[in-house]
Amino acid sequence: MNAPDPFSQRVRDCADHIAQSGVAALSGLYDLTAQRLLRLAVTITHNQHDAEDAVQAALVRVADHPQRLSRCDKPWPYLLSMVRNESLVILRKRKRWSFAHNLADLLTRRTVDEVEREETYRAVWMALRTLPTEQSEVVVLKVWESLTFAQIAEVLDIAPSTAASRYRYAIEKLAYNLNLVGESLDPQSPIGPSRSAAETNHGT
Amino acid sequence: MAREHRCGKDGLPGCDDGPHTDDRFAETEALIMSAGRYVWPSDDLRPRVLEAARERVGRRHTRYRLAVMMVAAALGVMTGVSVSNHLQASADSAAMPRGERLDELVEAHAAASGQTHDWALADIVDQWRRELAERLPEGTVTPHRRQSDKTIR
Repeated sequence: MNAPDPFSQRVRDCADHIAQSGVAALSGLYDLTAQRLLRLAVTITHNQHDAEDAVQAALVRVADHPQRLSRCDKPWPYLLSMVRNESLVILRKRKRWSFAHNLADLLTRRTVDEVEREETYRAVWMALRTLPTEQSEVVVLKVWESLTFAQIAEVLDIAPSTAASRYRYAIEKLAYNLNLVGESLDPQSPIGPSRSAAETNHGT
Repeated sequence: MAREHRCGKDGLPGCDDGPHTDDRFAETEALIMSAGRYVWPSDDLRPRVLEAARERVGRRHTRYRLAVMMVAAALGVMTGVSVSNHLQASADSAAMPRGERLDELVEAHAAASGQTHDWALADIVDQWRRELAERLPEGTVTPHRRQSDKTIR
């Protein structure tokens, strides 16, 4: 068995802390993982509210049985798959899958020096939303979570070669979409104009 | 990481579309990577998660306590019923027959032995006392009591 990566080890430490100290220690795990879990859930549900519900459900499960997380071989991929499962449950509960075709539901945050890059960020997120979920989740796990295809395959319960081919197709589409966007970004484009700083900037 | 999938590492086939495709992929991955921290949880999610977790764990503890209490109550009732039945049986067997039951015994003993009803009653009482004495553990009967028994006989 390979040693867990440093982030997985930190997740395990948090789970151990919850097991020892109780629910109050869940805040540590939340601070460590919430943003990363949310972006995966948003990718699947295409809705920030549903994604937050999925993250909440997964973390509450962890608080209820922290040993399950701390005893597994790879706590971080395990937690990601928990959030993915909760997201899929929420999707199934939805009467109709009406995916948003804009980013109006998202709560975004960027630093002052990132203002000029906001258009790029929005383009990336919009392009991700144009992908089928099974492709976009592979992209999220590969690029943002730095998982190997073998680990992605475990999280998604698919073959590693399937994960790799999905990733390849997804990146090709994204490259195409982002290049198009980069060349013709205007208010009429699918991405649309960015929201004002007052609407979007919640942070530093 | 960015080039891992293209070079056939990770145990997977690579892409043979040439360096131009590699560059395009790397650019795209870099773009995606840069947008990773653009979306954030809302400010109320953290307290919501902590509150929901507290409620859930509290409910679980309550259910656990309730289950323990129910098991303890069930065990208590079962033990009580068992002890009660045992005591009742013991009391029934140790009690002197009374009323119609005693009349029936006297009648039967008198008919069997040819004695009068008075002597039959005396025999039954004597027999009952012997049975009680036999149930007592050895050494419980005092010498004085044994002496008095002999005297009576």
